[in-house]
Amino acid sequence: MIRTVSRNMAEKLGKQLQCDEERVEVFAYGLQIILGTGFKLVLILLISLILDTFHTTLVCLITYIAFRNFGGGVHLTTYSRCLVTGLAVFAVLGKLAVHDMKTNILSLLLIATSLLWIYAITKWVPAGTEKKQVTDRYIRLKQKQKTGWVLMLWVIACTASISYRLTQHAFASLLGAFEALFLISPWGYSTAKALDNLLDNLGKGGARECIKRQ
Amino acid sequence: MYKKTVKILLSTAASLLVFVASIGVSPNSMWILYEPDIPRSLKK
Repeated sequence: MIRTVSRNMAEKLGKQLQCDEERVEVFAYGLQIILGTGFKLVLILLISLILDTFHTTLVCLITYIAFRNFGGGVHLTTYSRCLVTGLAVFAVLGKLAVHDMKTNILSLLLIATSLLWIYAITKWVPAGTEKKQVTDRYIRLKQKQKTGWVLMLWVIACTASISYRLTQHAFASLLGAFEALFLISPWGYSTAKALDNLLDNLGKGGARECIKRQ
Repeated sequence: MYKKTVKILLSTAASLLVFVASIGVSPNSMWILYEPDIPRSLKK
């Protein structure tokens, strides 16, 4: 639906500005990104408001986006699947993070997640998909560096949150980082592939695309 | 006047869309969970 709406809007815009087909395709692509992401973000935050988990969901989402932006990771094959999965995952994580955790457990989780992220940066970042893969060695290295910076800032922010006893925020952030980590790992790719296969077999959604690891 | 304003607004919207599209094809994966098909002209 997002694709059709974007295409129609792009065609109208292209007609008004007298642009060629290639430019209209670019407009449609830009619109798909804006509408798709905007709709999803609004729904995630709306559900978090209903569940009374707005703060934890927001922290979880910000952490996830920060890591995801530079680290990459698996994508599902259709928008509807991504939407439903995204909504479900963030609703669960936001709710989970509301539970009060002891600071020593949070510290241990922070150390474990940081170490796992260091391994992930050296091994998998930037994790691509069939649609977009980073093969250039220099760009790959740059992405690893940027993800490393994100990790460092995140560790500082989490440590500060734990020190100031903002346990729910720290836990939410840990969950967001862990989710991003899972989705760049081979297990994340396998899970997404299995989910796509399952939905294909059930006849819900579009054709499955093979997601290759880099 | 009205037509001129509409034209400026549409051009701004078009520039914004091209900018977003260019971010979309960058190595960064800013768009959580779903990525649309990249147009051929941007793959070049």
